[in-house]
Amino acid sequence: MKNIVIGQYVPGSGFFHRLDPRTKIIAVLFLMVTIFLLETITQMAIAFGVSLMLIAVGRISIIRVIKGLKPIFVLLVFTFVFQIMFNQTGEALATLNMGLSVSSILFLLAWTVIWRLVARMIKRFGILLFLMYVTGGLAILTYGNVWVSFSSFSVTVYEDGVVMSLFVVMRLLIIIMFSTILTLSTKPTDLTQALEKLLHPLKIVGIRSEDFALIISISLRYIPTILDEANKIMLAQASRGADFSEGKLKDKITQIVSLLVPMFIIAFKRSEDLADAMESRNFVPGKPRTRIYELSFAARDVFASFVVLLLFGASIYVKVFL
Amino acid sequence: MAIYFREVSHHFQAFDEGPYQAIRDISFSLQEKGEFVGLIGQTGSGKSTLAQHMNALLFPSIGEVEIFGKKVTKKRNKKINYNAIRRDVGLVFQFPEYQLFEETVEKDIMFGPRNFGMDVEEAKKKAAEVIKLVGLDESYLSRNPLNLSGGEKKRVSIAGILAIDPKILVFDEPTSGLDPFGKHQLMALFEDIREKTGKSIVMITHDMDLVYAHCTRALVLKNGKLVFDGRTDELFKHSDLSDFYLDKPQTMQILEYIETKYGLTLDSMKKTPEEAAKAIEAAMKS
Ligand SMILES: Nc1ncnc2c1ncn2[C@@H]1O[C@H](COP(=O)(O)OP(=O)(O)OP(=O)(O)O)[C@@H](O)[C@H]1O
Ligand SMILES: [Mg+2]
Repeated sequence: MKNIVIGQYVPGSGFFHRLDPRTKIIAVLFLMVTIFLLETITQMAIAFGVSLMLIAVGRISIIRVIKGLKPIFVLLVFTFVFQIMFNQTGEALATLNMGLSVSSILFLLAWTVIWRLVARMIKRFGILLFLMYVTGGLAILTYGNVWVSFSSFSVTVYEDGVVMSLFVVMRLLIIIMFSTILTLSTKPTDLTQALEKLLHPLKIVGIRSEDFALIISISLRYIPTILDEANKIMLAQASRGADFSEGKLKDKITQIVSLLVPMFIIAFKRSEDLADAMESRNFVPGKPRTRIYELSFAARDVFASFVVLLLFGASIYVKVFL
Repeated sequence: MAIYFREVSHHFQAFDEGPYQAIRDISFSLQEKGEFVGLIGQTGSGKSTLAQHMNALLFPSIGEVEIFGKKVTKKRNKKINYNAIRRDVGLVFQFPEYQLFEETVEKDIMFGPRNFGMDVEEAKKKAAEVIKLVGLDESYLSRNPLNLSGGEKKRVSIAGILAIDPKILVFDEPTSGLDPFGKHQLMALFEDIREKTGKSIVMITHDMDLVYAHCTRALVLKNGKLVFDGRTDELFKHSDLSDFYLDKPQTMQILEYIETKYGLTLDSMKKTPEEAAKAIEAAMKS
């Protein structure tokens, strides 16, 4: 629980770190639109190359970006598989005759056990092992039907399927990369300040962006605190024998309640205390206030905007004329 | 010996900074019976962290803690039943808000015993028994623990651990938030437990008077290091307690003041007002 990083900001002094957060937010929005304007796999591959270059230019650690991909890894795999399965046009590339049989089920079981054991022992490269497991599983379904088979089916992979799935996966990857660059290179506080400034015009329709930004920054500030608190509560309950890792379902439910109730009470109490503390220091919502660090545009912001507009223009050009 | 600390260090991983070493290189041992240990030191010196090692809530980053024969190290060992350790060593947390959650005090007290496999009827009996021990009457059993005052919550949280009936008891600032009467009631309870069962008790506190009057042994932490381990009276004879950011007990301070102000020679190592008065009388006569 302690390892959850709130906002993935990593201090640094690369190009993206020094950009104004407002420039970064707008640029990411424009670049996303740019990506969605692209239509062919070649264009997408070029865009992918450009994104990788951006990471290199910004001196952002590629390992961090890959780590940022971890949560959506399953989604990526599913997208890939579904695109391959559902695009049944174009040239057929390969046909796999698969089937279920007593032997293949036994093989699968054994394979699963091996996978879990190896994963236990190595404890790393979980993703790689999972991929190997899936590949092996497919191979077993294809070649393992030597004994008492009871159903069979065939899967055909078509060229369009492969192209489409590469296209979609690359698009997803690029989008995640952009947002990861943004969050890796921008402090959460800077992000909220930038949002506050960018949403300022909404005042005309009666929405005060300051309040909005205040809510976000307070929430961000309190996430680690609440996690810390949750950890303490867990220890206090473990001290009374609540074992959060073992136990029957019924005990589990009581144990989760024993964690949630104090958490909510503490969270409510904290928010009341904070409100009191702010009021007693004469905080008036919505009053104009100054900042220690003001955001400021520099030459590099102009340069970055120019590059983004160039890319945006280029994608419109290929969309319209190619 | 029931608990051994062998060169134990613990560092916390803070969110934005590097690791923070809360206790470092601590070694000592604790007997199962007959000890009443005061664990003292400045705020932030690592007392609570150390206490949480005593029942394997925290694992040492370096070193080893042996608790009733089970060796707790950095790595979780599948063969060790950590829950059983928590049954042997009961730890009451510093802040009761972290644990009260049931709708009645009775159920909350029963939570621990039930987790350790006691049946409902027995746990109920136990709850009725311990609530009186901590100085509340049985009418509290049906109240909502969240609506109690701070001191009452504290007592209920102590009752929740007493109900488990552990072999060794560890209290993290048990007297904070209690009125003077409640404080003495609690100390009387500790003395009573010691007398009847002989169980060792570890108490974290900032109250030097309590340590001097009740504890037989003192452990002093300073910046995460164990700087004193020995008999309580020896600690307070140590002239420069300010080294440890500590103070002498009130009675001793007064007696020493009288000693210098009136040029008497008297024995200032007295615990109660009666003893102190006798010491003054004796000094005046001679
Ligand atoms: N979960 C945690 N994460 C990071 N640092 C922590 C954590 N818990 C404690 N610390 C740090 O470890 C140090 C020791 O904390 P600890 O709670 O043990 O002090 P203490 O002696 O009990 O103080 P007090 O008398 O105020 O209760 C403190 O400086 C604290 O900031
Ligand atoms: Mg503490």
